[in-house]
Amino acid sequence: MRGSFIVNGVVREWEFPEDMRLLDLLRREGYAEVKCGCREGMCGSCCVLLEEKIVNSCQILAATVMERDIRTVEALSEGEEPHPLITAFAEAGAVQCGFCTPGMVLAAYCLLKENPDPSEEEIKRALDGNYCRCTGYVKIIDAVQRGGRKMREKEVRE
Amino acid sequence: MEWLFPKTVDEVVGVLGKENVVLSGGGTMLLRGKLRENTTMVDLSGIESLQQIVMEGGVISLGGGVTYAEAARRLAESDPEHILAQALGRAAATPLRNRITLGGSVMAQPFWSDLLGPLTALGAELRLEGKNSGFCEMAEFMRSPELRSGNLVHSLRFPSASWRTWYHRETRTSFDYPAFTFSMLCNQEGGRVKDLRVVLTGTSKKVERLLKVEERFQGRDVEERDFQNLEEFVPETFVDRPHGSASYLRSMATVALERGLRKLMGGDAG
Repeated sequence: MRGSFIVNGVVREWEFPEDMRLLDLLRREGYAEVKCGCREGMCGSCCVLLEEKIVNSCQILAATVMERDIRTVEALSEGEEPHPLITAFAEAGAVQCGFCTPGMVLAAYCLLKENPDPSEEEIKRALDGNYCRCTGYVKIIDAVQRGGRKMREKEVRE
Repeated sequence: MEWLFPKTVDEVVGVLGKENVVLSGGGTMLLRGKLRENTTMVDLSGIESLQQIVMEGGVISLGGGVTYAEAARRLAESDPEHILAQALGRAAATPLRNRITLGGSVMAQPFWSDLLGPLTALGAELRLEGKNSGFCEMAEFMRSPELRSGNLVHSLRFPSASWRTWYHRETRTSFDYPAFTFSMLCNQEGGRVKDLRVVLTGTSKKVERLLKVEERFQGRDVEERDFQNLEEFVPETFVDRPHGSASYLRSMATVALERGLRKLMGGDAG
């Protein structure tokens, strides 16, 4: 089948099998930042934003999201300037192997949009669908708190 | 495989009786099995009436296409302690809650459901469209497997009455499937238990209302509450699960039952 998708603000026209998952379609088309982990909706590596909500792309049939707004972690940054949240992950050392990071950043981004200054408990709840097998989460929580501060400061500056 | 993208419920009803038709609300259950090549997939996400949430006239109505996350958010806005807000807000994980739909969950009825217990406790009714169009009590729907084919869950509704609530999901970690859940609602008037509803899920019966527990406390003065020998009221229908043996789960359920009752009747939840 053929359909158009709005990925990171760009309309894409693709041919794809009727039973293809969004994860597989995005990776086939070069969106390597969308990681393939468990394929069961458990690990969160494949997370993308679907109309501003975080979802597991491995659990979505591509046919059901044609014409809808899909964003990967690449869409957060403006030009060459990394998004403050991405900078915060780097500064906090919250990235080890990096496999979970795109999903983590997107989950944190969704939280911080709704709640710019979340508690540790709120961060844990918002990231409950994203597993990290390297860092033990302490640095990730730190990164989200730092990212929140940076996003608030950026908003004040603008 | 072919895809249909209906815009109205009538269009869906038109294909419901046909062979190999699978409804796709957006949730995750479909991907647990292999999709067959000759399937006609019906994408329900374009039907606006399935996405509606209406709270008026003392009734709350939630469309079958409403996600767990959206239902929890909207219900918590008007009542943070609402049993469905508590249950759906803790089910699965955030990315999944943004996709799992109420209608899909009601149809699939997985044993780990965080939806069926609260709906049963609330005395919810389902509005079906298809071969059994009309309203159907949740309990009847659970008893009648034939209602699960040839029908679409258009919406579900329940009274918007205010309750004291307690929801418990027995898990090993916060993102685990629950081995069992308790949904408890209580109304008190003049220091007496006016109405009590206790619903257990996760046993071999999937959903059980513990009527004997309700009878023990209903109409009684909360000061005279008696939590002795509650294990007699916990059914023996538990089955072995990865979480533990049937007897272990029954013991845990007894503890959870007492905690819930103590919380609802003003005592220490322990």
